[in-house]
Amino acid sequence: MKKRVTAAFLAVMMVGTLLVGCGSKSGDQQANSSQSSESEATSGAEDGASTETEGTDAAPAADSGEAAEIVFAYMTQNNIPEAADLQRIEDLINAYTAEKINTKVDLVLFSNADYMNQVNLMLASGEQIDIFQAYGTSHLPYIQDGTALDITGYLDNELKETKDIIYDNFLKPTTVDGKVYGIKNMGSNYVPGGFTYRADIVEELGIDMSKVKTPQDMEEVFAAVKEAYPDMIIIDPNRANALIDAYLGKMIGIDPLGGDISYAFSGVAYQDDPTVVNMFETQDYIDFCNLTHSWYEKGYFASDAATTTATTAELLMSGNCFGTFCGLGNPKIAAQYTTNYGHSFDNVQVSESMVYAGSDGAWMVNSACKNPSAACKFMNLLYTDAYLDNLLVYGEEGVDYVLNEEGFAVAPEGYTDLNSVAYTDNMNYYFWGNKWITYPVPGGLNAEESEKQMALNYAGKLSNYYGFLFDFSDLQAEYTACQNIANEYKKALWVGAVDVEETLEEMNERLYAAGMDKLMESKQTQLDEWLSQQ
Amino acid sequence: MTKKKKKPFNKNTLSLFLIALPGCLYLFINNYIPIMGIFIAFKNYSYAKGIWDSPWCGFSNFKFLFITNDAWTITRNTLLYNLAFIVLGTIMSVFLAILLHEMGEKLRGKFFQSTLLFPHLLSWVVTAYLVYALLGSSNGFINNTILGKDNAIDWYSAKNLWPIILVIVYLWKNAGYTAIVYMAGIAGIDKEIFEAAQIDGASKVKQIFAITLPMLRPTIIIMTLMSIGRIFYSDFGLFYQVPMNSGALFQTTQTIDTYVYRGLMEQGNIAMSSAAGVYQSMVGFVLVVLANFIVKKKDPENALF
Repeated sequence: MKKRVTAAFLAVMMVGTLLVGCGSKSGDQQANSSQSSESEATSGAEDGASTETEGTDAAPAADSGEAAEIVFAYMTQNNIPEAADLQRIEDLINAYTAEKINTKVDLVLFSNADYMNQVNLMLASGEQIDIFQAYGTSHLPYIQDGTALDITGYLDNELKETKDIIYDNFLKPTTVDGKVYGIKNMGSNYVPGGFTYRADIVEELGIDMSKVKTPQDMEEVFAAVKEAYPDMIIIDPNRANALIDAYLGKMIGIDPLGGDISYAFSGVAYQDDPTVVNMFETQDYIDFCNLTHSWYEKGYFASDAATTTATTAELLMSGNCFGTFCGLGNPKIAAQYTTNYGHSFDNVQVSESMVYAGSDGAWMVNSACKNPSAACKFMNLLYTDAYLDNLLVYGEEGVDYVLNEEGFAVAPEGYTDLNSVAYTDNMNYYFWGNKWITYPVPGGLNAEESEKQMALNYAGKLSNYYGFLFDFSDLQAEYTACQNIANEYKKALWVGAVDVEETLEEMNERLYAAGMDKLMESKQTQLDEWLSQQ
Repeated sequence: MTKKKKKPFNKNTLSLFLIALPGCLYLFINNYIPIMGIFIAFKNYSYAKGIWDSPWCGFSNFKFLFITNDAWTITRNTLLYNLAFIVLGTIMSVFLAILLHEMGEKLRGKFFQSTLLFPHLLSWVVTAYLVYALLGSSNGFINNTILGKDNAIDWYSAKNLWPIILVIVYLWKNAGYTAIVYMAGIAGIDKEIFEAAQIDGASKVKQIFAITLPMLRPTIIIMTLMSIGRIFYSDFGLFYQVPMNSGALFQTTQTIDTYVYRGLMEQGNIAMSSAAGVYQSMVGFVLVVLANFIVKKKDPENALF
C-alpha cells in the first residue's frame, strides 16, 4: 500500500514538472533577463574577461553620459591568451573607444573550432552578446529568425565610413528583402586558384612554370617530378577541394549557389544560364573526375589519399610532398609556407578569380542588443580604424609585436616568433573588419604591393548570382540526408581514388532517392524570384 | 507471502536516508528534470525566440531519421552492432571472469586483471590510431609485414570487413572491464558448493556449466537488460574515431549518433538533434519494459522491476 502511494506521488510530481513547462512563457523569459542584470559587474572595471565562455553581463547605458557597454565575440587560431593578457588588450581598447565613441567593449574570445558552438550557446542562454559572426555557417537562419538586427538604418550614420570603404555590392549577400542585416568581413575579393609547390625541386629539374595557366597544364609538371622522385606524394590530398574550386568554380564559372562547391548537393548554376542543375551530372564535373582519376592512377596522389589523416602541414614539413592546390588570396602565400614549413616554396596561378554567392561569414549585431548604436559604431571602427584592428590582431605594440623598418609586424626582443607572444591573433588577420588596414607580416605584402592587390580586390569579379541566399529551412530532412551521402563520396572523388562512372551513378541514385530534386526545385524557385528582384 | 515487518524510523534509518539524499538529488536534477526538455524535439527552435516562443512543428523534426534509405541503414547498423556487442560481449566477459577467477587472488590474478582492464582506460582517439597503425594501407603493420605489398588490402575502403573489425575492437576495449562485474558475481558464490561438486567427481568444465553459470544468471540478466535499454545508442568514439571518418565505410559503420553528429554539426539544429535523442531513448525504454516483461514471465526473481 505504502509503495503504491509513494509511486503515485512520484508519478504526479513528474507529470507536474511537465505541466510547469506549459504555463509560464513570459515568466521564464523575465527570469532570464533578471538573472543577467543581477550579475552586474561592480563598478566600471570589467572583470574576468575569461578566455572560456562567459562575458560579463553589463548594465545597459542608462543615460548618454555613461559609456555604453557591448560584448564583442571573436575567434583565434593562435594560442588562447591568459586572462590577464586579454584584459590588458581590453583595457587598451576601452581607453581608446571610451574616448572615441563613448563605448566600452568586453572581449570574448574563442578558438576557431569552438566559436560557432559557443556563440550559439550564448545566444540560446540569453547572455549578452552584441557582435558576432556566422563563422563557417550560413547567416540566413539568424536573419530569418530575428537574431540579426536590421542595420539598414545605421548604414548612413554610425556605419557610414564602412559603407564607403567596402567592395562594390559587398552588402548583397547580407541583404534580405531590401534590408541589410550584417556585413561580411573584408577579406579577399580576388582569389585566383593556385598551386603552391616546392621551388627547389622545380629548379633542380629545370621545369618552366611560366607555361602553366590551367590545372591541366600542371600535369606535365607532375609527370616530371614523379619521374625524378617516384616515392614522393605529388599532390596534397587535403586540399584537393581547392582544385575543384579552381577548375569548376573559377575557370568554368559554376556557382554553387550557397553550398560548398566541392560537394554541392543542392544544385548549381552556370554563369550564363540561371537553371539549377545537378553538378554531379554535368559533363564538366565528369571531366574533372576523370582528370583526378587519371592523376590517381599515375600515382600523383598517394594510394591512401582518400582516407589519410596526415595534414597539409605534416606532409609539407616532411619534405615528401611536392605541393598543394590553394586559393591565392594572398599572392605571397608561398613565402608563409617557406617560413613555416622549412622548405622553399613558390606558387603559380592556375585560374582566374570569381566570388560566388556565399552565405556565410556575416558579422551581425544581436537584435537583443541594448545599445545597437554603440555596437554599430564599434563595428564601424573594425572596418576603418587601423589602431583598433591591429590591437585585436597583434596585441600591444612593443609588448606583443614591433614594427620593423619595412612596416611588417614581427616578434619583439626575446621571443622567437609571433606565435609565442602573450597576446596574438595574427592568423585570423582577415576574419573581421578590413584586412587592408592590418599590418602585414614578413613575407606578406608591403605597402606598394598592397596597393596593387587592393586595386585587384576592389575590381574583383563577382558571380552573376552574388548575393543569392538559399533557404532550406523547410527541407531540413532532405538537406541532412543529402549532405550525409555527399560526405561519403566527396573525398574519394576529389582524389580520384574510385571508378568514376560507377561511383557517380551510385551517388546520384542515392541523392535523388534522398530528395535532392526537391532541394533543386526549391532552389530554382528561390533563384528565379531573387533574379526578378535584381 | 511473508508479511513485511514495519521498519522503525530511528536514527539509523535517518542517517541512511541522508547518505542517499545527495545522490538522489543529483539523479533528480540531472536525469529527471531534463525529461521536461523532450518537447524541444517538437518545436522549430530558434535562438531569437527561445524555448518558449519557438513554434510547434509536430513530428517534422523526426522526418530526417526515417525519410531515406540511409535512415534505415543507420538503424540497422546500430541495432545489429549492439546485438553483437551484447551477445559476444557477455560471452567474452563471462569467459574472462571465469578464467580470472581461476587465476587466484595473488599477484598472478591481479596482473592479468589489470592488463585486461587497461584497454578500457585508453581514449578512443588513441585506440583509433592504434588500429590505424595496424590497418593503415601504406604504413600499417598488417599490410607491410603480414600480408606483404602484393596482397595489401585497402582496409579503410573495404566496408564489408568493418563489422568484424569494430566488434573485435569493442571486445578488446570492454571485455576486461565488464569481466570485473562478473568476477564479483563469481566471488560471491559459496566455496562449499564447489568443494562438494569436486568431491562428487565433477570436472572443472562441468563445475563451470553446472554451478558458476547458473549462479551468475541474475547478474547476466541484469546486465543484459540494462544494455537493451541502450540498444539504440552507440559508443560515439568507437564509430566515429576508429573508422577514421572515412566516407567509404559509412554504409557499414554509420550509426544514429554519428549520423546526427555529421548531419547537424554544420547546421546547429538543436531541435533535430533532440528529436534523434528522443527517438533513441523512447525506443530503448519500450524495449526494456518489453524485455523485463518477458523475463518476468520466465524467471520472476530476476526481473529488474
